Amino acid sequence: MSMQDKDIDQLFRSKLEGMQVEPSAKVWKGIVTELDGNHKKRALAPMLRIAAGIIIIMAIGFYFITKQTPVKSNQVALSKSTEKHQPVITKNGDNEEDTDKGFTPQAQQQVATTAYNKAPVEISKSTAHVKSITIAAKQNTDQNIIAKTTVKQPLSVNEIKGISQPVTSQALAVTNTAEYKPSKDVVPDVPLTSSKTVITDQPEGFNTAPKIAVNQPADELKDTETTRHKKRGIRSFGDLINVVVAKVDKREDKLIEFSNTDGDESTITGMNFGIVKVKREK
Amino acid sequence: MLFLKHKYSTEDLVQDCKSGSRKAQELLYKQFASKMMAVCMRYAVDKMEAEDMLQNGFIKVFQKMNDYRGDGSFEGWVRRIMVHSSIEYYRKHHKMMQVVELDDHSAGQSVNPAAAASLNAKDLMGLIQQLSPGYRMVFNLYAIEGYSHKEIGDIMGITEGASKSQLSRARAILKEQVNKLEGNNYEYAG
Repeated sequence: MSMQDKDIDQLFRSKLEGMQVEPSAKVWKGIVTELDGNHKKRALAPMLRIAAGIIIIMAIGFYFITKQTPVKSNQVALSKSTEKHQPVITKNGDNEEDTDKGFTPQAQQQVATTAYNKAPVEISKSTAHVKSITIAAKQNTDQNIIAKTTVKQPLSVNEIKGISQPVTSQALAVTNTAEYKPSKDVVPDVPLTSSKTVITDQPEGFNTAPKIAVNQPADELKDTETTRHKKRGIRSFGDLINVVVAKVDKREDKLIEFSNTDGDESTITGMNFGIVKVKREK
Repeated sequence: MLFLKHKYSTEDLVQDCKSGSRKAQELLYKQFASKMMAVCMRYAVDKMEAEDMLQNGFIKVFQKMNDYRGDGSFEGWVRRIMVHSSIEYYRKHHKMMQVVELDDHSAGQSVNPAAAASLNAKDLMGLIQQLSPGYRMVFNLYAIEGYSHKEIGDIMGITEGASKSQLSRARAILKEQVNKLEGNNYEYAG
């Protein structure tokens, strides 16, 4: 009998349709791998972006850290009162280099009310000997307060890291350009009381005999400010934030500022959101 | 033989799979893997390739699980995916050439149906795997899967006419092969 076409179809179909062949174990493993891969991809992609962002931030931080010169310097806390200045400055230190640089013993500090752009005055404070340090340098669009130290006697050491920028001829700036290049520890051996410096508070006017006047352009100011941060040494998370913020925020009072106190703890010393300004007074 | 300790209904497993249960996926796989492996074997050149086709097929099954609405048998749905996936795999990895007929296999060959019935599945599987790809696919799709020539044309990317002629060729070859096998069997049987 000849087999019809359908028969041959039928033959194969009947025998093969219900056939079973056991696959090896690796098939299921392969399936699982593929299915898991998809799930992980979905969850992983955003995580990778976040991780990348964190790495970038860390890289920026490391970049700054490695840029700074390894010097230990006293930290300066820039405090400022919101209204009146209360300049109480102490000087001390043994920076002979400073004197070499021609820092005359008579630096006058005064408070000028003339307008100026930026005149932060930093005063270093020794952690050991100095009893008090303050600086009030605050810039305001309406007030100009340039705090200067008045020294009646020759100073052995004077570490004033200050940059002030006089806008008018009246403003006096006290700067110690030598200051920010080499940062050093200010460990004054001269106790405060016997300090040769005398602090006077001159709310108005200023001596007509400024000994030191340095004009500085605005951007130099900013750079030095950043440099100043860097030179101090980034020891803590707060310092790192300060450096990064200093690069971006060119205002006198940064968006957020951490204390440069000794030790590991960083606390917020100031914030400036435009409307609200908060600053810790030291 | 894959052995299930507990009887899970297919519907339950399907539901759990839709929720993403890995356990349900594994059980569903175990339930249908052997059958689907046999399907892939018909389309592959060897067991290794069949396993690759099986793996790809099941991955698609689990990925498309939500598309299955419960209309029609689940096994049938899986089988269709398996067939399409296998052909896709084959086309990707092999060049499917139109087979040139060298010999004229007589279509009128006669086969003893009773004897043919004694052949076991394994033998027939072997015969199918010996077919050249074009014939094999068409025969599988038409004779076993039950697709129409038009559907085969769509799946394979060939014309209906080509599908018909390939089918008749495949049949002729298989008949011949079956006869040969039968002949052998008779001889052994004495």
